[in-house]
Amino acid sequence: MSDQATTSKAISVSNVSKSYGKVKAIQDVSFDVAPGELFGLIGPDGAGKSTLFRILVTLLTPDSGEATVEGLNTVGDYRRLRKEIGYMPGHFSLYPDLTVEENINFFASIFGVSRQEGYHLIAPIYEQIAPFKDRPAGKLSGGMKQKLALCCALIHRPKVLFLDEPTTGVDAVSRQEFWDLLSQLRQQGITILVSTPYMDEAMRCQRVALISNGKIMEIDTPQGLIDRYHLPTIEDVFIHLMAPDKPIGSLYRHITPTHHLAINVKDLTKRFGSFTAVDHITFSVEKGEIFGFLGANGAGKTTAIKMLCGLSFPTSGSGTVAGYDITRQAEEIKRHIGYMSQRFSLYDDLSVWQNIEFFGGIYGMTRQEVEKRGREILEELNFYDKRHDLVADIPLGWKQKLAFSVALLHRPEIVFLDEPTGGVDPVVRRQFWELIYQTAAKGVTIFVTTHYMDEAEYCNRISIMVAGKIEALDTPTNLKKAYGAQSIDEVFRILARNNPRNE
Amino acid sequence: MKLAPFIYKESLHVVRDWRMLLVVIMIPIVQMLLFGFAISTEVNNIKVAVSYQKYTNDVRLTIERLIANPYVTVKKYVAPTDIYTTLKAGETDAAILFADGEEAQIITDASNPNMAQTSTGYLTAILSDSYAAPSLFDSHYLYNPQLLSSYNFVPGVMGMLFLLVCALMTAVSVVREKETGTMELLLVSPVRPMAIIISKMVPFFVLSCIDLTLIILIARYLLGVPLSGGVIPIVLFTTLYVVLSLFLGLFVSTVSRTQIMAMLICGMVMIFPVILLSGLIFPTENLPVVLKQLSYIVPARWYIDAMRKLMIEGLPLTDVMLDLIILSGMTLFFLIVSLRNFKDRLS
Repeated sequence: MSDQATTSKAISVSNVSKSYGKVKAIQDVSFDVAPGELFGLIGPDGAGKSTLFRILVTLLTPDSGEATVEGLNTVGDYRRLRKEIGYMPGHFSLYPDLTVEENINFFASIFGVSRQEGYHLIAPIYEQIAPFKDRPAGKLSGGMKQKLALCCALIHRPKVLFLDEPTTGVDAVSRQEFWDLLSQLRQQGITILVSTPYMDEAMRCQRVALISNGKIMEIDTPQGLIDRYHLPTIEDVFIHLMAPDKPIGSLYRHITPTHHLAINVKDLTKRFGSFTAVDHITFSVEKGEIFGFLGANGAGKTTAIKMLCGLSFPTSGSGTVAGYDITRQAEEIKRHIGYMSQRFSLYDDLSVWQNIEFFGGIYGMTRQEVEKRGREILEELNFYDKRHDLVADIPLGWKQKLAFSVALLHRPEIVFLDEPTGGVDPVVRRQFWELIYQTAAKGVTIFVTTHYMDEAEYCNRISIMVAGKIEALDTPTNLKKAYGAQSIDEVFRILARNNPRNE
Repeated sequence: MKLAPFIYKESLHVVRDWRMLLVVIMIPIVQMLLFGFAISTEVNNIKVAVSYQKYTNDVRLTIERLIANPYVTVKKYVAPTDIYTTLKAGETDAAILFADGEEAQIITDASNPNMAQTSTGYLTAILSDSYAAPSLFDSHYLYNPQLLSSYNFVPGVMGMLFLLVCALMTAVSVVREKETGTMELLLVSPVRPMAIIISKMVPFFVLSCIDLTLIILIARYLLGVPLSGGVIPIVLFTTLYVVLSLFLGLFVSTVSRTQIMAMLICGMVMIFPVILLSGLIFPTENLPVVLKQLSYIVPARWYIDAMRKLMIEGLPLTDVMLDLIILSGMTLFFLIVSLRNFKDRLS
């Protein structure tokens, strides 16, 4: 930071509040960002990050307070301001039916610049997606879409870049590369405001604001926060700030699986035309085990899970899930497993109890069973009194916990969790894992995928899939030893970097 | 900012979705051919049972005329007591009972009132030559002497089609950007809302022009609609209607959040009333007062009315001034309302 930084501010927010009806999205938020700074807004979904972004990029007007970007007021000078900023909304806003090149050309044209003018800025990013320049944006992988969206936001050489959760739903390797790009951009003098629900990404910002429930809890350098609170990670600081009375303990608990196999597959393969999505995978999961199924976007995880759940028929190979043959007894398998994902969990427009009745019904449970079991799972969560609340009105963290319990309604032997904790705050994430441990302790097998590498460390065993093959399978401790790595994150990157299918 | 790249991008959306493009081009062709040839309100091939008490010369002549008439098929001869059973069994649509050579009676199956009325009319005309007193009235059907229903349907199809292509497509294309989140990016950029609106409209305007050309060609050369007022007034009037539909679509897009909502609004609130209240199938003159008042706010009613006058009656533009003024007023209204509603921030 130069001396000028103290006098001029790239972004200045003072006492900004915004409500939607009764919901207070952000309350009395103030902070400044110096020119050329990489500033992080760290917080879970629903913390108010997106609202704050929309106010700063002139899409929303604050109820009270004032914000300026590059000295221009976001309300009064919004027309001039719109020329100076680049914005990447939470979901990659691209035209899926236009090709990579057409997307870039279009975004250049609406800012009235030619593509060449901004090219030097996007060159390092564009080179990575250039081989796919004639492919429709809708057919790119998550990591590629993210890079294209960044190109589109940078093409007019904005002075300030607003990135709202640019790494959500993107695998660990692409996330890493993305943050490398941001560091390069900062060196070119661009001010960057970035939000993320991933606490580990906070370490790569110069300063961060921890935001929860529409309020800023702390602003400091990441290291400063860690030093001040004497805690090992930003995540611990966050948990401490949110729930100071709860001691932070290590989550890892030892669970001894029995030696009965819950899943046992051999040479499982799935081809789509000439493309082999899953290539001869062989593994087994013991009853009561917490099994982490990791892999980069497009490694074949989803296809593999679909085969295990009886939703997709393998091209070749064999195996059993919960004792049933995956090639012949798909219907039986569906009856004996539970499934929960971040994308689909519960119906928003039904009450919790109506959801339970519905899911009980589709699994063929009788009314009495649903009544008894539903009460049981809700009482365990201390949620029975609020069972008539609409799911839409329940906070995300609770929704995830309820969805997990509903997946257990019909007492499945195995539960498949597909990125169950995306976007929830660290406190809820830890509670969620507590719930997973309790469930596994009862002998239920947990099969979980996640993009959070720290969660991988909580599993009994993990497998890492690269380009359709399982490249590594062992306990987290053994894997770290074998690859000489400090963390599973590092192991993952070592393996995924060599991905031949890297688009 | 120049409009050209923006319009280019909108055109790409249209061209990329080639299935939709095909539908938009095929709809007028299929509808025109369907309404022109296959579906009509004309009544052909009336199946008649004949019954007589005395076989006089008059009866013989009349039956011969019936047999010779292309619209009538004499199905069977029945005893007078069997007339009702034949009709009940649905074997024939009508029966003619010749009573003792002096009088004739027509009995029709009126479970389909339209058909019953029309066939009674036909049969009366055939019978009147020999039975009733010679007709006192000499009736002429002006503009459409053969009473071809395609004459009526061409303006109706046009009224519906342009609404579909322009309003529905524009609404969906704007709302899709809201759904994908790209609208946020457009709003944040220095692009003026007017540029977004115009670019969205241009491709659908062009498509409408293609459709209009197709319709005029099919109407003139395949269906033989006279287009006696000349093509230019038709084109001018249709252009106005297309612009109106575009702004109507824009208006719908400002009040809907999802593509499904936009489609439902267009389908239920716009296309349904067009079919019922615009005189496409049911004459607006016969509507109950409340519905008749309601039909005045349906743009298609005025457009279809004017198209009938221009295409079939061959009246000059001066005779559709009322329609022209009302449609222009509506265009202005939707232009102002939709521009006011189209915000350059999120609400």
